[in-house]
Amino acid sequence: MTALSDVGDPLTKLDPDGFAALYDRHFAEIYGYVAARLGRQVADEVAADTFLTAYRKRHSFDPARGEVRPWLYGIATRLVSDHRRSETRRLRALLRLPADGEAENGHEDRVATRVDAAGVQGRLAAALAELSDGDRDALLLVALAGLTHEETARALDIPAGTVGSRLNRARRKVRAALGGSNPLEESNG
Amino acid sequence: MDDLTAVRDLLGAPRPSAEVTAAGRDRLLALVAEPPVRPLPKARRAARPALRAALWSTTALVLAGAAATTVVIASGGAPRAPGLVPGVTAPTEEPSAQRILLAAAASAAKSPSSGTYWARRVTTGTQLLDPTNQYVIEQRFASEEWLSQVPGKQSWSISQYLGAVPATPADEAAWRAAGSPRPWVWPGHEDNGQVFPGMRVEDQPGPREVNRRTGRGTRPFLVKMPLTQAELDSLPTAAEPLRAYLEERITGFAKKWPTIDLNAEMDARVTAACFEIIGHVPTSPQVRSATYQLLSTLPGITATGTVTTPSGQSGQGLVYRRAEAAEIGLEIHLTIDPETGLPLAEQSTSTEQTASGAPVKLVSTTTYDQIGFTDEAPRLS
Repeated sequence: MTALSDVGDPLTKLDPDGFAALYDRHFAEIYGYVAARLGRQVADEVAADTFLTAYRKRHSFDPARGEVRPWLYGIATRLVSDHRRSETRRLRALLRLPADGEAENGHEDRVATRVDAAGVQGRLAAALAELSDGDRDALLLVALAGLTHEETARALDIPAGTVGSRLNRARRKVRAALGGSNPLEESNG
Repeated sequence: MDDLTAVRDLLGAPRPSAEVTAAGRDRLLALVAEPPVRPLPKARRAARPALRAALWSTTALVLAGAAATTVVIASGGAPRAPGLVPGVTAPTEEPSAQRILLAAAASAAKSPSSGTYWARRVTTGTQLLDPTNQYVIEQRFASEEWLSQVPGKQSWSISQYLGAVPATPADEAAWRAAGSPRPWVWPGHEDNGQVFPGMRVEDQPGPREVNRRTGRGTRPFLVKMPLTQAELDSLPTAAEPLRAYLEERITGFAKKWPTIDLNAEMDARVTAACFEIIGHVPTSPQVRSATYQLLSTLPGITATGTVTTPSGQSGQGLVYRRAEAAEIGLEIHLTIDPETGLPLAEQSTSTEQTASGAPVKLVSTTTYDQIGFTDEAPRLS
């Protein structure tokens, strides 16, 4: 979506206005991603930390390797990984969530309004909680951030093939939770 | 339903509030506006929330976050950190927070009211788990601000990374058992490219970095907004007018952000602003005195007794607690010397898990080596 050219010069040459533009362009979506994983309260800090970290690490951004967006999501995912317990807590809360979506931080954080059955929703939350961290990272970068396999590979700095196998495994478990096939029948891989 | 859509619907993608967006932007711009200091990424685990960044970054960043960064997010439990050593005074002899604050108010009024510079020198110790999550290491930083009070005289920022060591004797034993690795290097991505290298914590100190501060970079912050010299000069010198001024400033700030519930938050925000003044703002003795007087009238501050700071100074501990959520408390720990009215240390605590699943308390402590007006000059070499 956002090529480096969208923000002008390479990051190392960005002036304060340039970095502000980068922030303005991407903060809301990075926040949405982090809040979806950790809840709003933690996201208030972590989403902003993503950009502070990006600024400090701007010298390590290599435009030859791709776009800004996967790079930012990679940083955000790293920060999320330091809050695994918040993520687990949030998924546990979703397990108990009534179907009408009463959530931790009031109406703005309402979730699950379109997942109609509490049972399905609970199973889905449980499936997400049970994924390995690496599998969950790959799945949520695709599902929430809409990254391609290639971009996910760059964000996580793993080979594209690894993204593929992580996604396959994660999506199989999610589909099973949604009432699809039995994961035990497809557990090789 | 598509499985990816179901995941999206379950987790949602909340929009940030205007306040959160603006606060993050302010923090970023404060960082970007900083004069260059020692490259920080390799010396820091990026994942700690704002406070850890603020603790050893420069004041602009600390102050840009205002309440959010001086209010420490702690994970509950009693504050009993390695950084500050509680004294042995019998509990019955401990003065109340109010008495400590009033004593500080009286002392602060007598401190120097002018000088060539307003100087703030601090040492920060930040704890983190080693790359294998088995023991705790502590990084130390020194930073100095020298804000010129004389027209035409240069202001300075000075910073130095002081190295890292295992935090306690027990941590040192665990470090030795692990083969005494140093520096500490986290598995990163150097092998696969340059996009996101792993973190590296150097054990050895870095060079002393001296930077000029000019223009807006010399302005202190109060309630997330920079203070002009005119505003600084006109800060109220009595508690009630100061409270009115801070409430007005906070109300002005909150106007833009309807999500702030001032009815519920005003006392907390005024308290946070008072802590900002004491620890970060170059003000007159009269304003500092008024700030302590104002704090003595605010709810929620309790005394924790006599404590000894990492630099060996003895002071009185104060903690400000505010229940914010079932699982998370907001806390400010401040140690002051009631006989001078000066802050001695600030502290934050977070709880992490070791590889074996045991909870471990990680402490960040900022120790004040100097704060106030002085005719001394900074060491620029």
